[in-house]
Amino acid sequence: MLVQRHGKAVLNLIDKMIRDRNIVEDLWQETFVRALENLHTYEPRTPTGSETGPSFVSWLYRIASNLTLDELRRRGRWRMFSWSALKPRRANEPDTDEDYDPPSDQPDTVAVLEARENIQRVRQALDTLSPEWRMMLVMREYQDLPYEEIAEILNVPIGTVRSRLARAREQLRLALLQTPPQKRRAHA
Amino acid sequence: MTCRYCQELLSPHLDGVLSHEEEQTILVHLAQCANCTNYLSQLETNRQLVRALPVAEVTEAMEAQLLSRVQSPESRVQSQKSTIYNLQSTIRSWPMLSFGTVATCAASMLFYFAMMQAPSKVSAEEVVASMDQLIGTLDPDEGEKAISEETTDEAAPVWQEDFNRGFANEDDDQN
Repeated sequence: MLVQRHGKAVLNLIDKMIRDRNIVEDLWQETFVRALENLHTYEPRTPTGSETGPSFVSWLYRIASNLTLDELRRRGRWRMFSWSALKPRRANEPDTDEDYDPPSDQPDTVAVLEARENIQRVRQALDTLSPEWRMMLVMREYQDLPYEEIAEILNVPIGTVRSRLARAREQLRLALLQTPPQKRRAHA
Repeated sequence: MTCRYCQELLSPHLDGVLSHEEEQTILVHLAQCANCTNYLSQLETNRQLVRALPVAEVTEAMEAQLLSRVQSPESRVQSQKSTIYNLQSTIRSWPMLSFGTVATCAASMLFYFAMMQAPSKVSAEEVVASMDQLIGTLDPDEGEKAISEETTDEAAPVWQEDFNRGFANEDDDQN
């Protein structure tokens, strides 16, 4: 029930922070194990909406974000790139890495190629951000969380969320400007 | 308003968290500044790019793996559950335990007070008569015999026999 309701949201938060799918799945699993272990420590928000505790989703996001940030700090950003994508593949090796795009029988259209390139561009640009800034940006842009909830999850003042988000957006803008999209000519 | 200040406010403007006054100031500046308008356009485009990232799906294998991990005997969740279950079962059985304890204590107290309040009603004559009967069962001759046997044993201990035998051996050597 817990996984069915919140599993996808938690997975996408971690997935947008880390590219290696195996690490993402490990962290996703660890998030729910920790949540179940510490369920008795969760103090639900009162019905009147007073500031006694975070909402359950925020509490879950907090566990996920702490685990993800710890992992990023521990391993270092350079290890978050999927080295398995660079390894030579065997003929019978299953495609487990999502970064690896299996060749399709259908010819790629320009739009599909551009979309794939955009994903790679954005991923690489996000990687240039510090883990804390990246986490805020993902929470705001991808998860569409309000400032108050981001502040609650990351345990920082709202003013910090506002200023860090502005810097993160500026950093992302500069990173994307450095890798402009390739101009393609549509096949006749 | 300077462009630098405006660009600092464009991020919260994008999120719609500016105050009414700040919002009005921004709009006035954007209407007359192409650079800041272009900057805002880039922020909006980048937001769309991030939102267009593919959505990751939870697979059945992930759910099954999580379930097996949570349900494994080594799982801390499972052990925590069993601890809580044991505690709950103990709490549930507590009334029965307490009832048993109280019942045992009450029975012990009743027995004790019953014994205290019901002393044996034996007269002095009966006590004397029972003592006479006890003494009468003893045979005085057998008692004396037992005492004399004890005295004989004590009068001739084993060490004295050895001592006497030693003197006898010396006499034989001299002869």
